[in-house]
Order: sequence, then C-alpha cells, then structure tokens
Amino acid sequence: MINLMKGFLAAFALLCASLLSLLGFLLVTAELVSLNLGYYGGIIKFFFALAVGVFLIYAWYLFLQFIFNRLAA
Amino acid sequence: MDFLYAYLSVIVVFFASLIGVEIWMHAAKRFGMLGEDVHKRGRPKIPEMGGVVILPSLLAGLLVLYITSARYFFEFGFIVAIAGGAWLLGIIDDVLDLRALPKFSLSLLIGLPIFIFINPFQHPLLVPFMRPVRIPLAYPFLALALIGGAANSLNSYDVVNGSATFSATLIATVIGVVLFLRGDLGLATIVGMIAASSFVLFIFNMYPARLFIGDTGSFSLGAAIAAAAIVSYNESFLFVALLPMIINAAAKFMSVGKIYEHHRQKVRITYVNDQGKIASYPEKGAISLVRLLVVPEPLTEFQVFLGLSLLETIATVFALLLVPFFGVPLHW
Repeated sequence: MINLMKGFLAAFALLCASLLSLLGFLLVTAELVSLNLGYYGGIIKFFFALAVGVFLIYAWYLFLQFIFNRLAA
Repeated sequence: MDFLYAYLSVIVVFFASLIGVEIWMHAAKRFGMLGEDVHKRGRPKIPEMGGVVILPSLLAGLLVLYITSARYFFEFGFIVAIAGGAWLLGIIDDVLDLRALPKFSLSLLIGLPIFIFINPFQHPLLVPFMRPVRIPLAYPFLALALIGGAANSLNSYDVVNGSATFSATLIATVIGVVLFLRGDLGLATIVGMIAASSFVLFIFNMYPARLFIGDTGSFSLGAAIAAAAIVSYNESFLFVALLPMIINAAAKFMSVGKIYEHHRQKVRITYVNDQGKIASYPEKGAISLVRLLVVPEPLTEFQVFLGLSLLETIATVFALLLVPFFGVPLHW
C-alpha cells in the first residue's frame, strides 16, 4: 500500500513545493513593489524579480530530479 | 438575470452535449474515426474527437442566453470566440496530427480575440495578498500565454481515461461557485455551461472510456476555462488550480529540453506490463507526472486516474483557500 502511494506522495510534495515557490515569489514581488529604489528602481526590481523566478524554477527542477532519482533507485 | 434562466441555460448545454455525444459516437464508428486505448490489453478501438460537441452545445447555450437575457452576451461571445479558435485548432490537429512546435505556436494565437472583446492594456490582475495590479504592457502576453498554456496543459494531462475531463469539470465548477459567491450569477452561469459540457464528456470518457475527447476537446475546454477566468478576473485562481498540469508540462519540457509530442518520442517512458498495469521504463527520459506515479510500483490505469484527479482536487482546494485573499468581497 505504501509503495502504491509513494509516487502520489512524491507528486504531492512537488505540488506543495510549487505552491510554496509561487507564494515566496509573490511575497518577494510584493515587498519589491513597495520599495523606493530611485530612478532606475523599476529596471532593478524587474531584473531582481526575474533572477528570483529563475532561481526558484531551477531549484524546483533540482527537487524534481532528486525525488525521481530516489524513487527510481 | 433570473435563477430560472441560469438553470435553463446550463440544462440546455447539458442535454445538447449529451445528444451531440450520442450522435458523434455513431458517426465516428460509421466513418472509422477510432483511436486505440493504449493502456488496455488488446488496445480496443473507441470513437475519437468527442470534443467536437463542445462548441455546438455552447452555441446552444448562447442562443438560450440571447433569448432569455440580453446581458452577458458580450462575455459569452468572448468565451465562445476563444473556445471556437481552440476547437478549430484541435480539429486540425486531430485530423492532420501537427508537430509539437507548430501546435504550441498556433495555440498561443487562440487568445487573439482578447484584443477585440476586452481591453487587455487596462485589465487589472487580481493577485492574492496584493492590491489589484495593472501591467499594461505585459498583460496581453500573459493572457495569450494563459489561454495557450491552459489549452496545452489540459491536452498534456489527457493521458489516461477521464483525467482531463474530470479536471476541466472540477475547475469550471469551482470557478462557477466562486463567481456565484461574488454575486455574479451571469458569469457563474456561463462557467456552469462549460462545466456541464465537460461533465457530459467526463461521463463518456471516464474509465473504461467509451469516447476520447481528442485534442479538439482538451484544447476547447482548456481555452474556454482560461477565457472564462480572464473575463471574470480569476487568472491567479486558474494558475494555482492548473498547477498539476503545469508541473506535468514543465517536468516533461525541462527533462527533455524541448517541446515534444509523446507518441513521436523514440525513447518511450511508460508501457503496459503483462498484468495490464502501467509501468515505467528504467531508462532515462522524460519525467512526467504519470511516470512519477508509477515509478515505485506499476499501477492500473484507474489508479493513475485516481492519483491525477486527487492531485487536481488538492490544487483546486489550494486555489479555493486563496480566494478570500483576492480582495473581492464574497457574499455567503
């Protein structure tokens, strides 16, 4: 039974990780929007948010690979 | 808009879909439009392209809406225009079997009616925990990506009997309930019509399937739901509810490094074993949600359907939990 559920639990963990990443990204963005960074603030905020987004997606992919390799081993 | 008219429109779409599916199943059998059910022993052939009934049944609903109430005609026209584009692309894909990249590129164009029906440069985006955001330059691209993405991700979730139709019915129903709680009965009715059409397809597509919805069905349902979400300011809700499908599509794309069609891949990732269960090949290859489910132990098609549906239900519950934080008052 546990073996049957393992794949589902892994997928559920992935879903939770995605949701947490999304919420984290939203909170960072909300915080960024409220900051006043001067004349070039808009561009700085955009690239910072982009970097955070790319980092989160890469971290998510590493998590996916980790889970998959653990299950397949 | 009266409750009576709302019920009537949804019931008309339900029965129009039911009659349409019956007629289509006979026609498909007669003209040999059959597809193999690859996850069953003996690979039985069953009618394909059941999704063709979606647009005619939505148009029947539109007619009822037009006769009974002049309001919401514009919003429904927008949804039908988007669903119609997706429906056409789905038929072309089902008949011609397009390659992945042209199909994906064309699906991004499905949302072009947003420039005619709504003003995407002024459209506010409701985000949980934040005030409504206006992103005039980025929103049109986001809307096109959401419509194309929803159509494609629902299509890539249509891997076992009933998984895509169940998810589409659930998301449309929940969006309808959210709109009803916000006091928007007209839009709730329109989303209810999509849910009714999707539910009929689910009845025929659930395990063991008697009908495949084909790309026609998954594209039209995905695009119609996305259009309904855009017109009702539920984009963020839809994004969270679509997370399992987005995870599935993103995992496949990132593990292979390109957009691809499952049946064109040389390295297959899953197969049906001697016991009739879906199992994962040990070789490296694309990681999909189904493969993740069956990696520890082979599962039956119905168990995979349960797993995918449960994930979709959990994601929809998560999206529902975020609804009070969108800043729109709810009327309980």
